[in-house]
Order: sequence, then structure tokens, then C-alpha cells
Amino acid sequence: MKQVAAGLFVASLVLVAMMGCRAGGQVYEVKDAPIQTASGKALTLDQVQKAIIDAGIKQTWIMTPVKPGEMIGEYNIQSHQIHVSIPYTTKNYSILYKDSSNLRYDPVKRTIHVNYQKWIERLDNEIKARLSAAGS
Amino acid sequence: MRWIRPGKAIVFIVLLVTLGCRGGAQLYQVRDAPVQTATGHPASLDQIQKAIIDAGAGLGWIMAVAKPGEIVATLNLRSHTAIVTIPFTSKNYSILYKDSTNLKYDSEKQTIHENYNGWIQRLDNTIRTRIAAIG
Repeated sequence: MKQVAAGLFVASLVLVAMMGCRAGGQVYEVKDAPIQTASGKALTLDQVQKAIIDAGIKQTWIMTPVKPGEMIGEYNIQSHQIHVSIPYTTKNYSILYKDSSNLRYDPVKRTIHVNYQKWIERLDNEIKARLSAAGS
Repeated sequence: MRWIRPGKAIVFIVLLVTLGCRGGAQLYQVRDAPVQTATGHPASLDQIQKAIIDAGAGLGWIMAVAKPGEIVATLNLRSHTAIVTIPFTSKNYSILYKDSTNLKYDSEKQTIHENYNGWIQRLDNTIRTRIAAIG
């Protein structure tokens, strides 16, 4: 039984080490995702902007319009901070990496903390949901 | 090494296995739920469609009108995807399973990941609320 316990202990150490040391993932970006409403109706630029802002707010991003057709999104979680640029037209939108702090961003390898992708996907899903309901 | 008790280790392993292997829950579907507005006024098909779309989108579902009287809703949550079809008339609506990924759906037993039913119930409640507020 002692050996089982020792084995478990070693296994958990290895696991913890792996979690701590895992390299980041590739920087995840959304490029030219199509804008698709539920009814198929076209949206105005204002409607797209509102959907993106509302989606951001829902996921606790701070959204700041830079100019018509471009938004900056800021996400603060624990000690981490992300800035993304969200350019959009009435046809499509993108979510592009802008800068970050405490997320081990590597500009050469284009890698970042593994959670980054999860946060961007969550924002993207919310934007898609809001856009689907826009103008209905 | 005495501080890691073999007994505790075994209990822990059994717990993990149970969590991992528990069968899914019975698939929950909403069938022909009545369309009921708060005032009792009848709602138009357009109003019901808008109520369903707003309800779903507010919960993060991506909504698409398949044809008049039918909406397809998609929920992406981490690695899971659930797709339901929502047929509706001016009298009632349903929420039916369409497709899923990574939710352990078993078509023979009609079982699925336990969380699925919670998502459908939440969607149903929100649709009900939105419909009640029509007019």
C-alpha cells in the first residue's frame, strides 16, 4: 500500500509540474467571421456595433469604439489583462490580438497563455449570439 | 509516506471513476408548450419568433431561422456543442434535440450529459418569460 501511495504522490507531482510548465497555445484570432442574423436580414453598421458592445458587456469585457467599424475590447481577469481589436463591417468581423499583460505572450512564436483562446472563443460565441438576434 | 492514506487514495480514485463514468441523464425535450402571454392576448408568429430569438441570444445561443415557424439554436460551451430545433406556431412551441458534440449523446437510450437538460430548461424558461411579455 505504501508503494501505491508513493506512486500517487509522484504522479500528482508530475501532473502539477506539467500544468505549471506547459507552453502557451498559438494566439487564437477570429478573422473575417461572417455576420449572420437569424432571419437572414442585413444589419446596419450601428446594429453590428451595438451587438458587439452588448456581447462584450455580457462577458465582462470593456468595449470602446475607436471609430466606426473598429472597437477595442479590454478584458481583466485576476492579474491578467488583454486588449483585442475588433474591426467590423456590415458583412463580417474579426477579433485580433492587440496586447496583453501577464499572459506570457511571445511575439516571435506567437504563443500565449492557454486560457487566452477560451476567453476569445467565449467572446466570439457571445458576439455570434447577439448578431443572430440583431435586427429581428 | 504515511500521510497519504491508502484508504483515502482509494476513495478518491473511486470518486473520480464514478464522476467520469456516470451515465448521462434522460434527454429532456419540451413538446408543444403553450404560447401564453401575460395579458392573454394572442401573439403573432413574428412576435413569437422575435421572443424566441431574443431569449436564446440572451443566453448565448446562436439563433437561425430555418423556415417560418422553425428556429435552429446552437450553443457552444467550451468543448461542447448542443443544437436544438424549435418549431413554433401561434399556439405552442417545442424544443427538440437535433445534434451535439462531446455530450455523450446515446441515441438508443436517449441519454445525454447531465448539464444538457439544465441548458434546455433555462432556454425554455427564458422563452416562456419573453413570450409572456409580448404585447
